[in-house]
Amino acid sequence: MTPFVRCRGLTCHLGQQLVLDGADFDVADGESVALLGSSGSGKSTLLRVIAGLQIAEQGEVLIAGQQASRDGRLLIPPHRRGIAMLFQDLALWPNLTVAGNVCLGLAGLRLSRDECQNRIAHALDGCKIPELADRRPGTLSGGQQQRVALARALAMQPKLLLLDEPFGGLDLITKQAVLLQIAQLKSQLGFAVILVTHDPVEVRGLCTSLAVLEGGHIAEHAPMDDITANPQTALGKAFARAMQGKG
Amino acid sequence: MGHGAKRILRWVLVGAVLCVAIGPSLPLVVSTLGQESPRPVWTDAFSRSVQTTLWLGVGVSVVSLLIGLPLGLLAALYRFPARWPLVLFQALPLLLPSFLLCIGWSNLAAVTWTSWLPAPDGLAGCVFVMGLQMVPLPFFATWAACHNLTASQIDASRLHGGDKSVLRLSARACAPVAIVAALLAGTLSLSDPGAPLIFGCRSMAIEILTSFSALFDYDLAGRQCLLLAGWVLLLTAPVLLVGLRWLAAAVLARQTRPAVPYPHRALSRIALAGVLLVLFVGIVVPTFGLCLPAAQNPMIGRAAAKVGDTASTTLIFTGGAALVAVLFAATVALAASESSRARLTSLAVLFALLAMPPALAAIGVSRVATHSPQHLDWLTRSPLTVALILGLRFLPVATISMMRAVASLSPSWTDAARVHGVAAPRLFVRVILPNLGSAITVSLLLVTVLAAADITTTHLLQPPGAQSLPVAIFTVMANSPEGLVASLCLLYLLCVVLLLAAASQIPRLWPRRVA
Repeated sequence: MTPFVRCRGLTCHLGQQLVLDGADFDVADGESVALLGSSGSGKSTLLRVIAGLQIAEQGEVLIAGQQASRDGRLLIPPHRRGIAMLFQDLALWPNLTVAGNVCLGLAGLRLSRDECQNRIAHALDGCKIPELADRRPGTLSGGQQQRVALARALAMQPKLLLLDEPFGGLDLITKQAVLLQIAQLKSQLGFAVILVTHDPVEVRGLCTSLAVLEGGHIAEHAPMDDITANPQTALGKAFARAMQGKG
Repeated sequence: MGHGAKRILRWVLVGAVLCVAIGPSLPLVVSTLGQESPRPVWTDAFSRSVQTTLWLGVGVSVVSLLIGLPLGLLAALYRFPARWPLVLFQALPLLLPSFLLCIGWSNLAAVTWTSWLPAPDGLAGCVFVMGLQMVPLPFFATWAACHNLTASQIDASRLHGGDKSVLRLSARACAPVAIVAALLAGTLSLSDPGAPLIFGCRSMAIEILTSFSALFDYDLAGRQCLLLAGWVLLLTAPVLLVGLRWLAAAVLARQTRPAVPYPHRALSRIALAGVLLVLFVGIVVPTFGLCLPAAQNPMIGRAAAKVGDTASTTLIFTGGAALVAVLFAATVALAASESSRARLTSLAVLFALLAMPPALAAIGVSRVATHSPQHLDWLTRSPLTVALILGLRFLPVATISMMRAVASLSPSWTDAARVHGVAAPRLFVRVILPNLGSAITVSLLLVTVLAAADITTTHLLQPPGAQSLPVAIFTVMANSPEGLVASLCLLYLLCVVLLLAAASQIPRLWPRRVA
């Protein structure tokens, strides 16, 4: 079966620093993969390359079997890839209301006004925040802002949701509630997830497989049970111990 | 459009704006160099004026730094009553023409019951009044630099060594920026003829003013202007090379959690006393001096009529300047937003231009006007010309404000827009522009007031029959009743205070929107 995302030989620099060095990475339809790696290892860069926000100098990205970028050339723009993203700082537009954020987030789909309103209502209902439609992001709590960002992402009806450490500022209870909500929506809508995180709680709540980015390439990528049972990398081992509650 | 093409387009935009900003100064340089001079420029009198001007610049830098740095630190770090309006009103002296403050001091000196006070006069008087007038530059530079220290840095130094340690750490961090700002203050004072004219101090700015307004010798004025520009460039070049990176980092940096002003019993009182003292000496005392002749011989009616006559012209000149400055500043800020080299280059060029004598561009444009065909009058000798040249002169002020605002826009907003397919113009109108609203308003107000206070440019370029209020005061002050001059000055001061009060309401109109 063709994976939804297939990355081959991605090489990418940030300034002078080589961040991705021939990275290969596949994500199957509906898969939930946690992307682990030490700070500065290139996790966010890999996500941005998959989303089309950054272009790798070498290598190719295939989305649903179609070439999306190849050797420094962007072939499919970000909004045509069927990918949504939750950013580390959520990237909510602060001057717009919650509904305005979701509405502007649908700009690339060129929907009719009615369909747009339906999508907004559906997304806000799905994230259990219909009462916040007229509020501005600055007046919301961290958990509510997470749900707004999620609603904006899901209103696109994506095939893949990229989560770039978006839960960092949340308390444990709110984090678990948001994770549960994403897991439920994922099982309803069937999108794939790539979660960049350092937190075992987030991995346990959402993911079924793990990938470890080390030295600019994917050092291991396997189902969660396999990695926790037989980790191949130092980070995999540390994470497996943390998952088993051994610190 | 690819990344490479976008980068080239951004540099082209920055370059185009900088060329437009430099443009008006070029005609004078080109026409003066290589031209035979009927009158010698370097006379004994001019040589003495060069020395006086240098002492003036040094004095103004020292006075403004010695007051502005400690006061800026205390005001930024400690909480005291009415902090925000008091800090905002520290900017008031900078927004007034220096002659206005000098008239106040001169009126005060003329009163017998103040004879025990030393009357400001000559070079010392100029240093005193202009030094106080320029305090806002190092004050606000220190304030901005202090806000770039994180709350945790301040907390850590307070935990380890008390407030003495906090002040030492912040002073060390802010001093380079304050020094650069004070040097800029000194440089700006070199080309201001207002205070030297009233206190009888023959600076280079006075020599230039005499050449074009008394001798009507524009060639001589042009050459003197070029000499002054050469001095200024010589003085500012090392400052810009060494200090601009600090200044840019202090003014443009952003961080997530700045320190909250701390309620310290003694230091809060000292901070309050300091800002009140500077406002008292810098504004209240000269304003009282302005009130004296106005109280003895009130001519508010005539003054109000004069204000009415000049209001529309003043508004066209200054409002037009503000629009020009904000338009170009927004272009530079947005185009240079992704390149620190572009930001530094544009700031360096614009600051060098700000430090140049305003007569450089004004005389250059008036020379072009004398040779240009009549159908180009709309460009070379109209209210639009004055607005354009004033706007370009104060472009750096608007640019800093816009660059700060652009730096506070999260890059992920644009990323989110790309993922969701929001077109660039739509993103600009719906997200970017509303989030730049407060910076645009602040820039408009600041440039309006600063442009009004610039006498030289307006005096040289205003078309016949169109006179702005400050130039009207400047031209009538020698041969009109003191009551009228004082009343005009008071009305002008009132207008500036009202504008500043309006600026103080901006945070309420645009509350900080943090997502």
